[in-house]
Amino acid sequence: MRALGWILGNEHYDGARMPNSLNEFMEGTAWLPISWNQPYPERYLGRPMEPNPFAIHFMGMSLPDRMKCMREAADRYAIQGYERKDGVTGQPSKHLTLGFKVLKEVPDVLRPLADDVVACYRRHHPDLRSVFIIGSVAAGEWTEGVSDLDVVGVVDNRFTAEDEAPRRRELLELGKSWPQVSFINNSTLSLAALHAESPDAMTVGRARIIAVTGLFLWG
Amino acid sequence: MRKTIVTAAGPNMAPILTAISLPSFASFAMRHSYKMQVTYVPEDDADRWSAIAKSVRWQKLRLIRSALEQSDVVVWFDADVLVCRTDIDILDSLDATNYQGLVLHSVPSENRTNPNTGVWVVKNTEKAFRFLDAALEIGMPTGR
Repeated sequence: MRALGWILGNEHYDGARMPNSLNEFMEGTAWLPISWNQPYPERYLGRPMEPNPFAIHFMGMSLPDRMKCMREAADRYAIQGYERKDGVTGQPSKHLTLGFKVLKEVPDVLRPLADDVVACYRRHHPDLRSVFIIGSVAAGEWTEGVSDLDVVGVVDNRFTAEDEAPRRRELLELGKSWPQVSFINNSTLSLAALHAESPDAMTVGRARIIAVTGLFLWG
Repeated sequence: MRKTIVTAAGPNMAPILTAISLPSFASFAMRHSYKMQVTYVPEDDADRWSAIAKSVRWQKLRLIRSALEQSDVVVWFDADVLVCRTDIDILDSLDATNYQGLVLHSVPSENRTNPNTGVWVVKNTEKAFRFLDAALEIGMPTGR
């Protein structure tokens, strides 16, 4: 917003408003109809709602509420390809597979870096089970010098932020020595946390990401 | 014309993106010949004011800029957006003089009016790149 010259208000945007004069970036910016980004009604109750919006934005909600409301809306608008709670799918599942592919091998130029990353994980995590690349490299969308390298190590035990700190510091430095990547975005998945009776959403989400887009490196 | 839909989610939002949002984006993409680029980032935080959550949000600019280098038009959808209609291409809302399009959110109860970047269309123009670079250079305001 600052690039547009917007008046930001306080740290929670209280008082945010359009500036009186347009800067060069404001000129050429189109203000689209609200129906292209309709805030979910409950949060903005009292505001005029588009009866047939192009897109609804479920902002500022807890994850369970967001999931519930989005499912209801997907049912209501009969989203194609969305698998409804009753198991009925509006369109063939090919719609779900359009978004990404996963490479079978790490690009050659990144192989030495990938090996160093695995070695780093092995040094810092005695209970390491496997290492995966996710994100742009795994999806074949990596751009040399622009994209980062996203890595997840799978370990047996639970861990704390302090446990991860030494590995993060080492990989931060390793990333700086490799101009081919912007940085090494690294994290860990605990199998103990995943197999708990009620695993937290972060752990489940990370496991899903590996399952869907993970490029196996080691293990 | 090379058109790309770009979206991303961290572990918290990944299940919602995969199960609910993406199919709606895919329908829109198929109807209007967009390629899709989906990024799963390894970290996020349910607390939108945390440093991690803010850092992840800031990656949006880099993802859009990167995709724009390979596209004539990029449309960004946040992972918590659901596309309900596919009959009109959002690109049709821009005219020849526009390099980007956003929706203004006005929330009287919170005393604010601001552009919301949850849905964002950007054309591959010199001005768009300058704008994205300017936003990246300015960085995230303190506290946001």
